[in-house]
Amino acid sequence: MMPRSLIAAPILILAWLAAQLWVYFPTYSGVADAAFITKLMVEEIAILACWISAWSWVTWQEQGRTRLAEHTIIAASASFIDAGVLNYAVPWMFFNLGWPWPTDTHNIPNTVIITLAALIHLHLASRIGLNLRLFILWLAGSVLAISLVTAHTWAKKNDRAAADKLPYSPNIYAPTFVVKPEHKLAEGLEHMWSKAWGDQ
Amino acid sequence: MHLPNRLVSPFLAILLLCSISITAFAAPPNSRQLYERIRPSVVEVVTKNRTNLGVSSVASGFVTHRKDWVITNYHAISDSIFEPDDHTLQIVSMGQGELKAEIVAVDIQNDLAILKVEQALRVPLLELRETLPDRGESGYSMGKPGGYQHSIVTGTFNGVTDKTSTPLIIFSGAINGGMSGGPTLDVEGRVIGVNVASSTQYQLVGLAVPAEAVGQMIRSKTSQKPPSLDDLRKDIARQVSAFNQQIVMRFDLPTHSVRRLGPFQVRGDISRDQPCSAARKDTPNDHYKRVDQRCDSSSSLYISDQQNAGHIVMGSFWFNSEKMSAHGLARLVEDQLTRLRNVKDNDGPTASWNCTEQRLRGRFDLPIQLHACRRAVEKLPGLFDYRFRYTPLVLGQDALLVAIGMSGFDDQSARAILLKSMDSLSFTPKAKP
Repeated sequence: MMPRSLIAAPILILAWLAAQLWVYFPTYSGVADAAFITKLMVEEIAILACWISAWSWVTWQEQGRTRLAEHTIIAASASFIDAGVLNYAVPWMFFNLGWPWPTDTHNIPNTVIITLAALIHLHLASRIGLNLRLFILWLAGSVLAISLVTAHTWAKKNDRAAADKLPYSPNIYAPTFVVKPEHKLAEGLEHMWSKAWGDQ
Repeated sequence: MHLPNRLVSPFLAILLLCSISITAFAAPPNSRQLYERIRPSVVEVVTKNRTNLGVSSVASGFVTHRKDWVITNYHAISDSIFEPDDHTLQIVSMGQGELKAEIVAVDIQNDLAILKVEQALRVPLLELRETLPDRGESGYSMGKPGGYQHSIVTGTFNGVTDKTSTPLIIFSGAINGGMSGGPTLDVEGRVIGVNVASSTQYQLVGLAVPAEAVGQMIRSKTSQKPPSLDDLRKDIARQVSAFNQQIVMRFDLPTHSVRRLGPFQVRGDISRDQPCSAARKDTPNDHYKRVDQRCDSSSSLYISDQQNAGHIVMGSFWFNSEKMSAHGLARLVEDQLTRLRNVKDNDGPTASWNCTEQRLRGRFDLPIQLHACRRAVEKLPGLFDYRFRYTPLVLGQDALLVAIGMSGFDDQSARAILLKSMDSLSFTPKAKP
């Protein structure tokens, strides 16, 4: 009989993907095409795969086995809570109750979820309890990662050379693959104006 | 009838005396007399810059209509509208020295401003002559050229130029920097115009705003109270929008023809005075050919040293290759699009660009890929700078990229011009043998 963790892992991954689509689709379908949403989804899946692989590798180093399914369950559960609860349900509840939901508010519970998930991964990777060496390594790695992200954000904000460039990606679609555009010129420009700049 | 000889001589003497007296009374004042009469009514307009070690810019102005009003050029005082924390506006009069001034009204299209001085000036008001001078008519220009003393310059009027967005009187005389805002006078000392510029190409070709524009601005100003800077900026934005509407209407004139670039037809000249230029570009190899067309709207409105309004630049880049695939040509267009991302043209603080893209159906259902970017013009609500890049997605040996840069436009005008430009685009594929 198949262990329960092997069944739970793909189910949770699918649940997370569904939640992710549930969040992305209404948010972006009005302003972007399917390719953009697919790109976002693929990026999310790639990040999660890297995260699970890294913890499995650490576990393999410590215990001689990867415990892949359990790591997948932890990561998928945390991601599901992040997408479905923090990014969707909680803001939805706030909006419906008429409370303010300031931009980037979800970053705080998001950080808490990631930290908790990392601690559970650590516990799983440790032979007994919480391996102090692994914990310190994780802490050092996290501090380094946060520092790098902070430095990158700062550089992006203060990079004058980047400010002198128009922020569009110069991708031209090969004519063979282009379907007939939906809008004619006048209505299309009006649509674009209201979509991109209407609220400014 | 015969007059006796003894009466003829005294009669002739009296007649001669009368004619001399009449001539003496009717003769216009010479430049020295005119200088003495007009000089008190001409003032210095000083914009003091607090951040630049107190270095100031100096222009001229004159008193007309009201004793506490000074007429000058808009470009002489624009810094105090957009950077009021760093600049203070003063006038220096001959008898009353330095006095604070505030802006009552501006006319950016005619480059004029009315200033209100903190106290009435004890000087004669200059009379406006709102009719244009005849060609060859003599006249004078007054003002304070740079660090030199107030000057009077003689010259002649030579018609009106139509190469600018508004008509300007051509004055063949030396109008130097610092004399901007000073009066251009007829021989009677009436104000015919306001010194505004001189030709950088030709010697002794000065330009003056006709006095009629001054009169209109004065008459349209119902309130004598200086408006707040926010209201003044809103008024400038409104004037720019009106100017933009004129540009949109000019786009419909026959002068705005279409031009052929290989199998493509694109929008042609934007300005009557400045036809588009086209040139074959050297390419790094013989895999493809490239022809660039550049069109420019010759006139624009000065808003500040960092910002012009109503200016359009349009570039069309045609690529043709018999050796490259459609994908290869698309990469060439992408490469050109990447180059066109550079927009460094301003040293001052500017808002950030916001870009979007859209695919549209042009004439004959031609699919067009459009990249559109917009940023707000600082301190002028409702005005924006735009960068549009669009390319028709066509199969074959040709590719085209059109790039439009527009400075200081409102949404409605920018969209109308973009629409007219995109609507001119058509593609006629070469017939297969």
